[in-house]
Amino acid sequence: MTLATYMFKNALRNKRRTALTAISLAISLTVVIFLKTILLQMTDPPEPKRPSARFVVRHRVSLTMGLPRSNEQKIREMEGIVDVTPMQWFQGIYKDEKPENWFARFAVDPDSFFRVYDNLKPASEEQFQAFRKTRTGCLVGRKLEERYGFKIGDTITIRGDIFDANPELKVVGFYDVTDDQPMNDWLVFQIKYLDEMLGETTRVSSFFALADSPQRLETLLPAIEERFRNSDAEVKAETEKAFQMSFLEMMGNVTGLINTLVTVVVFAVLLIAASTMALTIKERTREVATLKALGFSRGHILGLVVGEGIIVSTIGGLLGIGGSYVVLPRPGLLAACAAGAIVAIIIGVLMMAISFILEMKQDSKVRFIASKYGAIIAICIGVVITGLLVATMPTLDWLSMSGGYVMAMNVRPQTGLLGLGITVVVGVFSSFWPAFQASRMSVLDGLRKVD
Amino acid sequence: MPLPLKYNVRHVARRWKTTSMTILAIALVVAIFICMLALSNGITHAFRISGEPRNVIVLRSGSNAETNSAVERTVYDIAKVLPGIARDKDGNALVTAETINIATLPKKTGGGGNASIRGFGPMSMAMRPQIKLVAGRMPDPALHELIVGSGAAERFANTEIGDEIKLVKSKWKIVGRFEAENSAFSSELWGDVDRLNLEFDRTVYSSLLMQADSIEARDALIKAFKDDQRLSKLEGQPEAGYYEKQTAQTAKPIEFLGMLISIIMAIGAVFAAMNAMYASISSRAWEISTLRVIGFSRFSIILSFCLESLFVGFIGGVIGALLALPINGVTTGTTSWSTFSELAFAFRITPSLVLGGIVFASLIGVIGGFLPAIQASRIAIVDGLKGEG
Repeated sequence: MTLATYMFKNALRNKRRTALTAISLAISLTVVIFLKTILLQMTDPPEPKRPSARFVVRHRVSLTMGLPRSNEQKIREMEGIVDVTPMQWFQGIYKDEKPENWFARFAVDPDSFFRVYDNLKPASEEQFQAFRKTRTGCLVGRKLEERYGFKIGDTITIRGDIFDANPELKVVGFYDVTDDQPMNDWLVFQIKYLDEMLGETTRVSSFFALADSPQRLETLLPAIEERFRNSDAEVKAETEKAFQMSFLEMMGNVTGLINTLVTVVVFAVLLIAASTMALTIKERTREVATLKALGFSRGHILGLVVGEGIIVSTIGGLLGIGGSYVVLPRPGLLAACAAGAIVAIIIGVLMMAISFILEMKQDSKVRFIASKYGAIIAICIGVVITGLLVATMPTLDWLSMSGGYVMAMNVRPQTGLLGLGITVVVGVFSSFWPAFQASRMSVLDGLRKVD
Repeated sequence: MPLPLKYNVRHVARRWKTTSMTILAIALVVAIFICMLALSNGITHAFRISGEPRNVIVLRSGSNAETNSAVERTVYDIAKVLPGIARDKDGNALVTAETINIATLPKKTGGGGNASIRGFGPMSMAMRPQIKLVAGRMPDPALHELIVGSGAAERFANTEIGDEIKLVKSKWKIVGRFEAENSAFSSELWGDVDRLNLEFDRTVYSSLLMQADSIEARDALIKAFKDDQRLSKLEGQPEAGYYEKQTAQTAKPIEFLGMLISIIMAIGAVFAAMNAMYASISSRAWEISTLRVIGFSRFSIILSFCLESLFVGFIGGVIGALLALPINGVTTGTTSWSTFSELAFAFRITPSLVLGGIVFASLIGVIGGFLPAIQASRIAIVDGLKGEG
């Protein structure tokens, strides 16, 4: 028997204990990966394929104050500008105020909108022309089509909250997001229609514009701010990314909150693993003493115990990281698994109770089944329920479950690596102290010990 | 006959080295639970303005926040003579027109934040007894002067008395500071309504606040707004209710996240407690068998071990609550999306939250101890006494 086999056999000797420790590590890692994925998604959205030369011009004082529409021409005349488009955040309420019915709605100018957003493409030229020509027409992003099942010809009524207007919009087509920008699925309708409903040329919350190169922005942004200084609407010009980040900043110290949570969770799981390792080694005091008596060195003992800790944590770590990759992007599956697990645990406990009660009554046959096969029956029922739920449950998505805060959960490689790092750290640190103590113990004390 | 509790307590104390790690793990889970709920508690509290229940706020129908609302000047004069409006001792109608403006101000931590600037009228303070000027003086309506709420003063730079801040066109001087029981008002800056309207180039008010004679008169007032042709574009609602409605969007996601993480981590802690109990029981087989021989029933063994585990969980809960306690009162901020402005609030640990945390921890203990306890009750007496357990 090699030392490696010895470590493996030891790690799996108390299967229940190893399983419990590994699963609690797996669960905690899933939490860590879940939190880190949310954080990365918010602080570090996927980079556009080409560096973006798109930027935002808005009122210096706040987004709630509008800019006059005549600014469009003034911005257009500046050097290095390719195109400008007015965008008015309409907000409004679709159906009701529930988070799952929340999506972004903008009033836009059809022609310049698609020139500035060169990453958005109308599904076809006909649909684009229909959008231009239909006064009350609207285009919706492909993801919204999937979520709400909008079809061409549908009427969407939006109740205005910021504006005293309730547009009735006709879906004339869809658009695709050609890069993987997560936040570009909106409903867009003609700003002319908004003007008409309000009876005036409305001010707009922002102008989005495209410069001829990303490098140009360094000089262009200050130049635009200077252009409007001391006018009745001073502006702030910033890159699209900075604009998006300002919303994250508004939410408060999210980064601090999530990183603190992650640290505490890791520390908790370290304690859980360490307490198990300490128990394990304590129970094996005599064995360790025997090994030493046989001539194993301190280093050997240390290595054997730490190795065992790493094996246990690796089992849990791989389970957690693999599970996160499979389950986190699919909230439906996650919910189904959780429900299945809960049912399995309840049935398992019931089986235990049955076998316990019947044991007292000496009713052997049912008791035999319950105690021998109880766990298997519970697990089978759990799996079946999970399967049934996956098959029948309506698709859940993170967006509606989180009240609009989480778009999607795609675990990134660096998050997986972090999980792996935590696994190793937990493996080493949880077992080091018990290992150290075991290696220092005198043979005599160990052999004498009666537990 | 149940086993005496002392037996369990002594056992926990005897194996304190391994138990303390389990206890600490449970404590951390409970600390997360309490802190996250204290966070959402703080936000909820900020929207509970504990104000005068007879106050009615009037907004443009369809708008769900003062920020989006518009109320014409003429409405102010109509409202003043509506039946059921309360009057102060000088006979002035308790009606005030206010505006909310959003301005980006530099924050103390760097960067900019959206501050709510409320334009208020002569009656505004009298109608909100919970708001108290604590330093300086009230602004002069003829001058560019502001008073700052305690929450806003903590978050935004240059908000000491005597400082000046630029809003849209001109500089405004801070002349006083007020407190509003940590409610949403304390995140605001207040100035004269007409002067602020000039600054922000607006001709209409955001809202109208009215105080009724009584709760019944309040409801009649709300109905009057519904029925009056001249006021058909407006809608009245109790002021307190209006603020409470805004909680959901801001506090719910945090509550959801907090509960989710706590429950998932609780499963991990249950497993830790289980491991510890299993180990403890397997090393006590001899003892348990002895207890059985003396005459303790299986049921009392189960009860005793469940209680022992509950005790471990309970201590974890108490330590967790102690760990979380220092965060009580720490102020932080987020954005209230319905008003699109900074909301300062303080983590808020209430006695019921501490109790909830301890119950949560005790549950972790009991659930973790249940299966090991059953196993303990099933140890065959003969084997146990042989020392083979």
